[in-house]
Amino acid sequence: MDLDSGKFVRDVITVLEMKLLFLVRGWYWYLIRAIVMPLGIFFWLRAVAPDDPSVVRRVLSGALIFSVSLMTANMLSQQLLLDRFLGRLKLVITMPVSKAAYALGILAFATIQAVPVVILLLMVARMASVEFSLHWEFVPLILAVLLTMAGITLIIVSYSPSIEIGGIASNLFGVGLIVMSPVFFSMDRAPLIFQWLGLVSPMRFASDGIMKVLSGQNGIWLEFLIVLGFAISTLILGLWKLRWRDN
Amino acid sequence: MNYFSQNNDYSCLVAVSSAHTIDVRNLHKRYKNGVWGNKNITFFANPGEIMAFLGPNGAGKTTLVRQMTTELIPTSGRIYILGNDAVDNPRLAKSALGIVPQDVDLFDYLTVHQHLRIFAKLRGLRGKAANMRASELLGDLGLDKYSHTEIKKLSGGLKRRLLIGIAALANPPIMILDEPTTGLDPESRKDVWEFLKVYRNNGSTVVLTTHYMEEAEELSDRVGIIKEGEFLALDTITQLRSDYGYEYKITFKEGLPNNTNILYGSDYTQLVQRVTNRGISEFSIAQTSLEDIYLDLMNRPKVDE
Repeated sequence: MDLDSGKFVRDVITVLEMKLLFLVRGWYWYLIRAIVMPLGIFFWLRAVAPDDPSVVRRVLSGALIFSVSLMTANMLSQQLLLDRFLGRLKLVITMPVSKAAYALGILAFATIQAVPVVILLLMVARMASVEFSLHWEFVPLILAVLLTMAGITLIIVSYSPSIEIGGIASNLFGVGLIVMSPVFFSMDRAPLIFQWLGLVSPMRFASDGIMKVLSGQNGIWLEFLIVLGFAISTLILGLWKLRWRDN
Repeated sequence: MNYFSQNNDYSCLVAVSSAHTIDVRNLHKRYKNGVWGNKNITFFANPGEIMAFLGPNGAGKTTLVRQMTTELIPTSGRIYILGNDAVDNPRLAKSALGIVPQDVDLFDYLTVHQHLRIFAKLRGLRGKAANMRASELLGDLGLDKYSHTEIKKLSGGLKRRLLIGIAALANPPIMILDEPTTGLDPESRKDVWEFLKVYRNNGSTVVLTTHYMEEAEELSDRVGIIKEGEFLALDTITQLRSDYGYEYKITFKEGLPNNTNILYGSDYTQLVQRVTNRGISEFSIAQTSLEDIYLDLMNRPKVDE
């Protein structure tokens, strides 16, 4: 039995395959669910905000982060909670599969889900005559946002006492973090308490970075490294807390 | 029916030479709330053997099985699976185990074939081999016509059959099942028994926990009776009868109406004489069942050593 060479990678791919098969049924519903709210917020904010290209780009930046966070918090938490509380995770654990392989497979699933949402949102923004640029630095930054949210979701699911509470907590945290961080507006326009939160919120740094990219500016490495730092911390904590063997 | 394919190589697992497939030594498990799950458990299992663990709810059967399957970390003691330490190398141990836990569920959005194919890959089989093994097991388990059926549409018996199939994907030398037939109808239960007998006859070790006396009597080569986390007895049923003087039981009525008495003994003639000496002429005598041994052991007061 070949346990080591390449099995880790194959296990990640197999877990991803298992989760993608879930998505195959009714994938359009998940897409609609992930896009409706961010699109709604984007158009609403655009309608009420001043007609200034930089403000509109800020709103778009916020909508992108919101859609990725919402998608991750919703879909990932649902999958993880069902796996954990319905005994499915126990079935996976009976296999010679590492916790890290399972977690990476789930993260890959979360990433693949987020891609069409981001593309759709950008396409709609373009069709709505929003002026923005894109370059490759956008990709690692949005990925870091997704991984941060995934790590937070892993932590919440690991601590949840039930499916219901876990679902509520994931959505509350995911949406709450976005709403209370200066994401749709810059720090100087935020209420004082939001400014304090903005100092430690990865979403604020992500929004600043995406805003720069959309405005055609380079050099978002500081923002990327900060968000990546949050992503690594939450993922490590989430992985550590994920129950695989009981004590 | 053939439940095994030809390709199984577990040679990488044998680091220490051992005649036993499972070797449990001085196993203790104490939970964080101070409750003892298992105390001083020592036993071994051999190839080509079915062992059944019997006990009331909360006796420690599932705790023992969860430690053997590496799901639960022992407080102290060692568990060797094919000579390899399961506590320190859980993944290596699990590669030799086919496990059917008690409270486990399938993925309701996957079909039967998808389950077998995906879990075959998680077992270590690749691409075509995983597909072939999945198709092979569908036939062996009698699940051909359900191949493309989603799990949520299957009955409990069929789901349980699939769980056993998933555990058997890589022809593991050891199968561990926690109450595999609870909730199944008699026909499904008999199907599961037949599967397990075939594994045993092909040289595998099967360890199961059960509440059902007839299941333990029908299947097991050896029975372990557990109470309060410890083994009260562990042996063949024949030897248990002999060790505890339970070869025969005689049932009779004496005294108050409907007052049924039971006496146990190893000597048939002596038992009959004891009853007839009391002036009783109506009685029935039979070989003791596992249930008799179990109930009497359970009701015996504990003797502190």
